[in-house]
Amino acid sequence: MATSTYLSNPVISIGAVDISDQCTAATLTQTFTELQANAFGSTAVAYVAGLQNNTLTLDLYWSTAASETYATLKALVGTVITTITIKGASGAASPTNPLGTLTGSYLPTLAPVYTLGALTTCSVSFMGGTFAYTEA
Amino acid sequence: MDRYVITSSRVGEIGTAFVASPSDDIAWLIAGGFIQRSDTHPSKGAKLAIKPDATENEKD
Repeated sequence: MATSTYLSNPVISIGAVDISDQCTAATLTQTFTELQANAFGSTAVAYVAGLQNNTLTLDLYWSTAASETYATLKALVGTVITTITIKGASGAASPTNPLGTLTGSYLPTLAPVYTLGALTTCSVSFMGGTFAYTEA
Repeated sequence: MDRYVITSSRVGEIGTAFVASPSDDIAWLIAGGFIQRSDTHPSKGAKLAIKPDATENEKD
């Protein structure tokens, strides 16, 4: 059975900044809002695509060292981020290593979690924007 | 045109020139310590001891 196993090498970049080594999980939810398109005579609910409503959630370690998580995100809260890219492996984009680009998403919150006896983490969700894969 | 040098490995090889794309937020990259403006300016051409159009023959 063919599978894609990502152990350590996905690449996450916010703009030109590669944040991969602080990231432990990335959840991309590509959504097109469904719009009912029924009419008299319909025998089942039918849908057509509405607006995109994408979300990318990153689980990050909360490092406040220079050029790390805090320095990357502190100025982005409440703003629209031009591009965020996600790729399964560090090689060039290809049909088996597609490059996903989220363009124009919004970062509403920044909420680091300080926990006794554990590394401080932060989960950020970039909301909205358009998403597309490129394979070359 | 402003030039920038990479100061964080998150952006590329430290010390090399940062080639900005139209989507890059330069102010954010500078504020985050990822790049900085390069102080290096193109060098001026060296002054020549003898002007190229000067003739070797001196007037009598």
